[in-house]
Amino acid sequence: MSSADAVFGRSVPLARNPVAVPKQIRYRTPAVVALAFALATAGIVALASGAIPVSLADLVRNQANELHRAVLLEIRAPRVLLVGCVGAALALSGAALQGLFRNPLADPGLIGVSSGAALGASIMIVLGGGLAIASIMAPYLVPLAAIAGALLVTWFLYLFSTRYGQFSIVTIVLVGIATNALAGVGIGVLQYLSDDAGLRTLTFWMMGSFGRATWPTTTPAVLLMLLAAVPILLVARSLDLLQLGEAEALYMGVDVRRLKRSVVLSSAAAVGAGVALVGIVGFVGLVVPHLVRLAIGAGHRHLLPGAALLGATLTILADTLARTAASPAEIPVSLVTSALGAPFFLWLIARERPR
Amino acid sequence: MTLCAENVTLELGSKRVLTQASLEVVPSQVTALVGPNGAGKSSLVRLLCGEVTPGGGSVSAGGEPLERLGVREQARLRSVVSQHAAMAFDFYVDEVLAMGWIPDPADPADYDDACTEVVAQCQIGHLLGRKYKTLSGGERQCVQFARALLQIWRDACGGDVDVRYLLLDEPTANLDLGHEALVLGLARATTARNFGVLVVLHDIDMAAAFADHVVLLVDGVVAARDHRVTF
Repeated sequence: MSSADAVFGRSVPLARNPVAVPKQIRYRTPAVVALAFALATAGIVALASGAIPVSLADLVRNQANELHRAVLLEIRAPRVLLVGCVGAALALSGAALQGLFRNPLADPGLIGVSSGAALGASIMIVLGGGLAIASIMAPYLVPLAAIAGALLVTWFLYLFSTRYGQFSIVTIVLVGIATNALAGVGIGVLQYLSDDAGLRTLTFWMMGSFGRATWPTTTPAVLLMLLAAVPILLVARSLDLLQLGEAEALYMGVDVRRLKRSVVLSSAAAVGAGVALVGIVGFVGLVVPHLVRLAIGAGHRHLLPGAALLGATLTILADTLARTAASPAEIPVSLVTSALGAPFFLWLIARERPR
Repeated sequence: MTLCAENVTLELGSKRVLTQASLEVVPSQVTALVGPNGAGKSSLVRLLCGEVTPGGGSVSAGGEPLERLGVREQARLRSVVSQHAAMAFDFYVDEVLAMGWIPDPADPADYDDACTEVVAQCQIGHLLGRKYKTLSGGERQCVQFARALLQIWRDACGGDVDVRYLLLDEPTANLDLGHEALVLGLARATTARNFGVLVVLHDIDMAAAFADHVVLLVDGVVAARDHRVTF
């Protein structure tokens, strides 16, 4: 289960059988490869477009002038990287949490994991100023606080769901509303408590944008997200087995407690690291895994990498749209993702409602 | 060489579910566990699966206490078909079957061959390529049974214990008469592969007709056991 083979499913081929293997199953590895190409294309498009027209070809041929070089390497490149990683992290955590809760509506934003991260980050922004910590640690502090907040919420949700039976499709959204409200109270209290400077920082942070992405802030978050993605990708087969039920997965050799721990920890870390830098980006974690499931089926060995790739692609495109549509002004990217995601969410509820 | 619960006692919350109960699953034989609702049958099965640990007494497989075996070792030793297997997401039947197969780089046994054989035996060839969610309760039961067979289909490699166990918790609950006969017949047939079979049943007549041993559980106590039932 912890081998690289298990991730891409080479170790368990599907049987050749008299009935044709379903198309979805036959085409899922090529589909994941196609998604990787789509991501590369989206990345190049995002790098090339913006307020200042810059030719990528010039840069490659080393003919770009200083300004263009700076725009590309110091402004756009970290931004595109951060956007891609946040999108991938949200979609991957969404897919993993949906698998863990065995509930198609588990989305980091909806169930309150993102607000937990936001609360953690706010606490650090407002109250952390007094901490005497070496400045080299500073870029990590807010992400770490956000991760702690996300972890707290995810763990609470999991305990709540184990204690009061598995969440029904709709209950999880209701619990999410309560969690979001509680986190909102916490952030409100912090706003009330903070001094002028703290309030200013907090307000700017809460508006959430990719606009402030620079290498020193981007690198630690990206590293954290990549690190968090590894354990999730490794438990793909275990997540598959978990779909038959917790007890059944145990009977089939899955160490269920370890699986839960690793999914809760990693998805909280991935979401927290992203939220700490860019605020809450809604619906990516909900919509993307469903799109991937519709296209290539529910098996996690393809769903997880597929969701990460598509999440990165779509978020990069949404961000490119957000910064070019009203150029040189910028629309918040969460506006774009929510405008696309909310109707999809309604459609999902209608579809998943038990009849 | 048996899967064996000895004088096990189990309390769930403040309620005592099993009292000094003993049960043995013997290789190549079918043991039926019968009793009224709430008698503790499923709890006894969960003990034998290593899902819960007994408050008193011990559970062992081939003389080795169950808690000393890892979950993966246990999974290769025994498989379980439980009563309800609902899935939130749309998996294909083919994928559900593949879930049973435990990948093992050390053993080249071919999944395709095993799957083809199990599918043929369980007569579920017509279900391949369909979504699991669209199956009827009985069809799902058959798929789960096939999946459980695949889990322990591989020859036990390494150790000298070439014994596997198949635990069926009311495998016939959703089945019509034809499929009931099919599943019980298959369970019986697996004893030829040296599988020890435990089957939880409601119907004592069926148990008597089908099993080598019958154990009657009432209120958490083994009320009667009958070796070689003959009528």
